Order: sequence, then structure tokens, then C-alpha cells
Amino acid sequence: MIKVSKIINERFKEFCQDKFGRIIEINNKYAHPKIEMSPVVRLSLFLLRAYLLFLLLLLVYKFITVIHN
Amino acid sequence: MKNFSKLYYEYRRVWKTIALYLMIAGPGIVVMVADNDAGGITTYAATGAKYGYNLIWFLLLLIPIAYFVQEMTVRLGVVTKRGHAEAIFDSFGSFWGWFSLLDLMLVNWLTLVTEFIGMSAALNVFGVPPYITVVVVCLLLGIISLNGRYWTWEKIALVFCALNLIYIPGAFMVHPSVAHVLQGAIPNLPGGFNNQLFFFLMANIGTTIAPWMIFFQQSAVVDKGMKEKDIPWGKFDTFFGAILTVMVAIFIVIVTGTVLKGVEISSAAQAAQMLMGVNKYLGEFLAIGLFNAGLLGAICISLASSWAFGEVFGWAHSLNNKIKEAPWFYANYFLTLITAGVVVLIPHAPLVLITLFVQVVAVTLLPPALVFLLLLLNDKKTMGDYKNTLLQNIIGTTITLFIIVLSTLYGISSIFPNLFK
Repeated sequence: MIKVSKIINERFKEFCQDKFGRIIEINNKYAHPKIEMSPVVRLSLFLLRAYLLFLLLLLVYKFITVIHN
Repeated sequence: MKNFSKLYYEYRRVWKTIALYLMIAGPGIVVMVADNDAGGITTYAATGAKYGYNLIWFLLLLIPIAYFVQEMTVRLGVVTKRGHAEAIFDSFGSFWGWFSLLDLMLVNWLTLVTEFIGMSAALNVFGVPPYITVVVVCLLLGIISLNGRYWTWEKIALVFCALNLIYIPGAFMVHPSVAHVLQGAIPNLPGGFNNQLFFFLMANIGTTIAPWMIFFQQSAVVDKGMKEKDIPWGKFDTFFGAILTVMVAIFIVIVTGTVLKGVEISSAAQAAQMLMGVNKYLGEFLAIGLFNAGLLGAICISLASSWAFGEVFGWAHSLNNKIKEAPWFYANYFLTLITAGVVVLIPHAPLVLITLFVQVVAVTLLPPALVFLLLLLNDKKTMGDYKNTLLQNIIGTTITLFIIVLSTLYGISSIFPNLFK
């Protein structure tokens, strides 16, 4: 049983590596941002994250109100 | 004899300057004129019908706004030799990179659907069924792109840009009062500053700066092979394009503001049919212009997506590559185009919902794209001597904040329509 699950795991990893290998390569290539993380850059990225979260919450709220109605 | 040789020398100098500009011209004009896409034409037609000439002053304000944003993409593309998607991945990491890339694909695909909606509606005025429009457009765009040269594609796109000027004779045909038109250039708030006026101002901003424009122009200057010494011409090209696009918008406003003032317009195709009742040629001009606008939008938007994908995945991604050299680039291009066209042909497809959804999704991409643009233009390591100056930062930041606030409110008004009523 353990052998079978090991084989399945390995096959699944091979499948993912094959299909998503390029994506993993891209993620590794761009893992570390190259821009100088000055206070302005950090603040801008933080505000962007907050802004997107705000929009996401709005959409979720709209979705809930539509379902409720 | 001396005067003659001076004259000849001047003539040669001027002609060389024009010829040089014509070689560089392209990305700026194409992106700006393509910005007057099917959705844009509808917005301008509705603005003219609602407020007459009274918002012409606001459209004129859009010239510097559009110019300052797009000029930054020229410098960034020329200096880094990378598209915007790749630049975001490299500078800000894979989270922001994937967010920008996938959001761009979604926004562009949805916008393409709206372009096909516009084109089908425009040709429907002439009795052409939608399926023929979709097939013809896909074939046409395929032929334009598959010739294997960016240069040829660009010159064909410029011809379509020239066709966009069809609204100008249309405006003269309605014999507008020049005095009233010029009065519209003076800032005023017709009916006072109310929710509905605010909605129209937001809609005009939203249609003028679209996220795909930033990605498109940056990739286009890279594919064109522009160099640092071409930057001044690239700026002029962008400025000229900004003037052209706003001029076309103003002429559309003049047409509907003269003939359809006070009429509720929900689409440009509806406006074209109404105008046909007044003057057959006027309605036909608007319909042809609407089709052309949708076609130009489709040409640019589908390319913006394919370039972005190719940059990130490292595929060959140039119009200078033949289909065998860049199979994934063209596969992405045609897949995006054909699937967007097919949606329009599905019976009872929620096309109105898709049109609304574009505005909402665009709001998630435009602010990050603008902020990344500004941050990259301020990175000394990236830009070197072409970094933003203090004045460019002040103007760029002000415009960015202005666009973010207005386009966010516009997107929110799409989700909550009663908010501004």
C-alpha cells in the first residue's frame, strides 16, 4: 500500500514538473525583487495590497447581497 | 541662386525630419487612437447626447493625462528593452508579476469581447450578421499579424488609425455652431456638480486610460527596436497620438451633441441608427467608425496579451517572427481572439454583464500598473539617465492618484449602480 502511494506521489510530481515546471522556473527566476526596496516602494506596495483587499471585500459583499436577494 | 540653394537645403532638411518621424511613428499613435475603441465611442456618443458640447473642456484635459502616462512607457520600454509584464516580474517579484499577467489576460479578453460586441452591432446596421463579422475580423487580424514583420503590421494599423478620423467629416455635416463648440472648451459643470455628471466624468477618464495601453505601448517599442536616441520622437509620436484621440472624441461629442442632444444613448450602434434617421451618411459614418474602433482595439489588445505572455514565459514573441518561429505567441493570439469572438455568437450570452464586468476588473489592474510604472521610472538602477525628473514625478503622481481615485469610483459604481444616483 505504501509502495503504491509512493508510486502515485512520484507520478504526480513528474506530471506537475512536466506541466508546471516552466512556472516553477519562472517563480524561481523572479523569486527576489530586484528593485531597491526604499520606504516609498514598500509603502506603495503595502497600499496596493490594501487597495486590492478593499476591492476584493467589496466584490465579496456584492456577491453576498446578490445571493441574499 | 543662393536663395534657391538655401530653399532646397531647407526642403531637404524638413523632408528628412518628416521621413525620420514617419519611421519612428507608430506605437504612440496606434495605442492612442486604438484607445477610442467600441466602448470609448459609446461613452463619447452618450456624453455628447447628455451634455452637448459642455464637456469638451474635460476631454481636452485628457490630452496631457494620456500623454504623461504613455510617455513613461516609451522610456521604460526603450531603456529596459522589456515589456511591462516582464519588468514587473523582474523588479517586484513573482506575486505581483503573476497578479499583473493573469489580470491583464482576463481584462484584455473581456475587453476583446466588448470590441466584438461593438463590431457586430456596427455591421448589423448594414445588415451583416454577427457570425460573418466575427469570421471576417478573425481572418483579417490573422492576415495582418502573420506577415512576419512588425513594420508591416504597424503601417496597416496606422491606416486603420487614419480611418478613425471618419468622425471629422461627420461633425462638419451636422453644421454645429462654432461659437457654442468653443464655449464648451471653457470649464463648466452643466446642471451643477451632481452624481450623474460625476459618473460621466469618471466614464470618460476610465475609457481614456486603460491598463492594456501601458502593456501594449511598452511591448510595441521593444518589438519595433526603438533606441534611446529615438525617445524624443517616441514622445512626439505619443503626444501627437494623444491629440488625435481627443480630437476624434470631441468630434463624436459634436455629432451627438448637435443631433441627439437630450436623447438617452445606451450604445454607439443605437446612436448610429438614430443618426441614420437624420442623415443616412452620418449614421453610416458613425457605424463605420464604430467598427473601425472595435477593430483597432482588437488588433492592439490581443497583441498586448500575447506579448506579455511571451515575455514572461521566454517564448519567441515578436511580430518579426514567422508562425513556425513563435508558435506559442501566435497560438495565444488566435486563441484569445477566437474565443472572444465566439462568446458574442452564443445565444443569450450575458453580454451586458460582461461589459460591466470589464470596468470592475480593469479597476484591479490599472492602479497597480500605474504605480509600478512610476516606481520603475524612479529606479536609478533600471533607468539610469532616463529616470523621472522631479517635475515628471509631481505630474505623474498627481495624474496617477487622479486616475486611481476616479477609475476606482467608476468601478465601484458598476458594482453598486445606485451609489451615484
